[in-house]
Amino acid sequence: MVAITDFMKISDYEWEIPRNYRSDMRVPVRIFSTRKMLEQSLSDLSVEQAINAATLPGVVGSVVVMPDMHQGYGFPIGGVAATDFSTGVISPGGIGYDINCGVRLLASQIPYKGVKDQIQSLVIALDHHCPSGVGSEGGIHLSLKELEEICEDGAHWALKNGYATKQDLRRTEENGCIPGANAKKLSERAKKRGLPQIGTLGSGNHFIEIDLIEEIFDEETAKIFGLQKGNLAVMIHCGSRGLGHQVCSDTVQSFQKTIHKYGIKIPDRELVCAPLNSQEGQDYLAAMRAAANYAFCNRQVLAYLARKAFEQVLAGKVKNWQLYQVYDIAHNIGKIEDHKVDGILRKVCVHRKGATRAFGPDVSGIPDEFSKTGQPVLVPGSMGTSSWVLAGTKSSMERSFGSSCHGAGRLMSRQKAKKTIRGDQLKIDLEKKGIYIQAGSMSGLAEEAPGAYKDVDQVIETVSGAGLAKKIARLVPLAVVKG
Amino acid sequence: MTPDKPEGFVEIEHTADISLRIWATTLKDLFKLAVDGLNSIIEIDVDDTDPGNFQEFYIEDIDLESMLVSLLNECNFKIQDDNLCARITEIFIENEKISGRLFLKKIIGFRNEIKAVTYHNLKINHSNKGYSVVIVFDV
Repeated sequence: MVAITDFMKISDYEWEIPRNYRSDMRVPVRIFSTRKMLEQSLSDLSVEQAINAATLPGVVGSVVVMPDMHQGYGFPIGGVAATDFSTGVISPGGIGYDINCGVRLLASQIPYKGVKDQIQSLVIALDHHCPSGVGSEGGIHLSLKELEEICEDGAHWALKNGYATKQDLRRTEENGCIPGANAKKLSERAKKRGLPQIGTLGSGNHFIEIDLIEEIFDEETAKIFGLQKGNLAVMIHCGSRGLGHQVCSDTVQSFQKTIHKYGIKIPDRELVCAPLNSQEGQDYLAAMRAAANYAFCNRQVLAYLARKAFEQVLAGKVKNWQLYQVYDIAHNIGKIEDHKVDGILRKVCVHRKGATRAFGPDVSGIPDEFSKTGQPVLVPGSMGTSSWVLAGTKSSMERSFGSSCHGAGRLMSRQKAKKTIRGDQLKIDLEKKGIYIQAGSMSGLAEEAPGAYKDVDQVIETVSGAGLAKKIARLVPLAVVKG
Repeated sequence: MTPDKPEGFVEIEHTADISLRIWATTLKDLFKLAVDGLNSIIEIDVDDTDPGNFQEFYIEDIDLESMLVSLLNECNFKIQDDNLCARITEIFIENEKISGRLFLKKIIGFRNEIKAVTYHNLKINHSNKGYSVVIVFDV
């Protein structure tokens, strides 16, 4: 087991496990955390998992871990690992089963004060319009051809079919479509699972939340992002649903058979991988991108449905009831990007598993209007706590492959949460605080209780203290639709 | 192994996902119990009016662990996409293949969703008391 004494302290917010800690490590592990949070993290396998990720062939720089880290399977959640494009590998377990799970933030000119008594109606309407829960199916019936178009065109399919605006696409990571996706690389099973699920939230930790923008930390940047204190915002958290899960399952399974021919040794079978320049690696990249595009389109359709819900409740009662997009980002993804490693610009595959891209100012790949501010970094909290909007920094480009944290990070197991927290009581307690909840299952609600998560404010203090991102705005929840 | 019961499954602590420990005196029972464990996590309501039907299965893979993952993924897919709950009624295990019969019943509903069956630290252990394995499910 790793002990706190195994770490080298770099600063109050940065710790390192040197490369020589274990003989199979190819690079060090760099953890952004306070001492207290790091000690907490040592109670599960997250640090060991980061060390395992540091053994992957072609991994460069350091394996970076965010303060919201916790145990996953293979990679830790909150982990970032970059592998050399020419000599490195791609590991589906380093991206996750929910490919392009991510967050979208919609802002508004709706003052909370003016609609305080409409919040409950709004969350009921959101729940009605946006299918959620286990096995949820959407209202859009796709043909196979349409599904394949979605996988290759992403949110552009939504624009073509009236579910998006041009601004939505501009304000989505990769403009809502990662090039190089190939629907032909998806299994029949993946396609079957994707057909009925476009425009659905799913279950687990996925949600749609109505927030109040409570505090602004940087007026100028907040204005550029479209955030104004006292107004409502809507946050959507979900991913690629069964289609993405199937792509990852198919690949993890098939890579088990092919890894040996490349002579790759891994400490955990969930880290299974293939060289990026191999046929297997390229096929996965194309399928993973197809699933990522499905997820961009899924969140886009959900945004369209959320707008319908707001229109139903507020049109005619409130002057500017529209919701406009701040940004949409992925936090489970593999991206081919250029980063400086030891002073040399290299093309790498950045695996972000429970980590958000946080590109700083003047970096290509972000919308023009954010070129001076850095991209918005969206960090949801847990139902009863704050969510945050940050901005990417120059420092994140140099120290974390342009990445930051993705949430609060789990602290308590689902099993323990269900044993110690009653879903129905939690709903009552949250409603007493003025937070309305629409949830399909009370046990599911208990699993996602705020007490099961780390303190998101401490996570934010750490990433901002470390210089990976800059605080722009703090949001507080008013109502939540839980998947 | 758990001394008071020769076979069974139990959920063990995992920060974010679900981890299930399964143990049995024979390998066949380990596979059967793994499927029962999956069904238990998902909390399925089966349709009692459905008489059910049998379906043959055949899986070929590189080792026991991969065959276990394949079998559980197959059963998970049946639940999520075909609305059918599977139980193993018969199973034959050879070197790199398993075959047998599933008993399938229609599902009215289920409370939890499993995204995937993972290979995380997956190893089927064999001792003089029998077989055991810990499986992490992504939820």
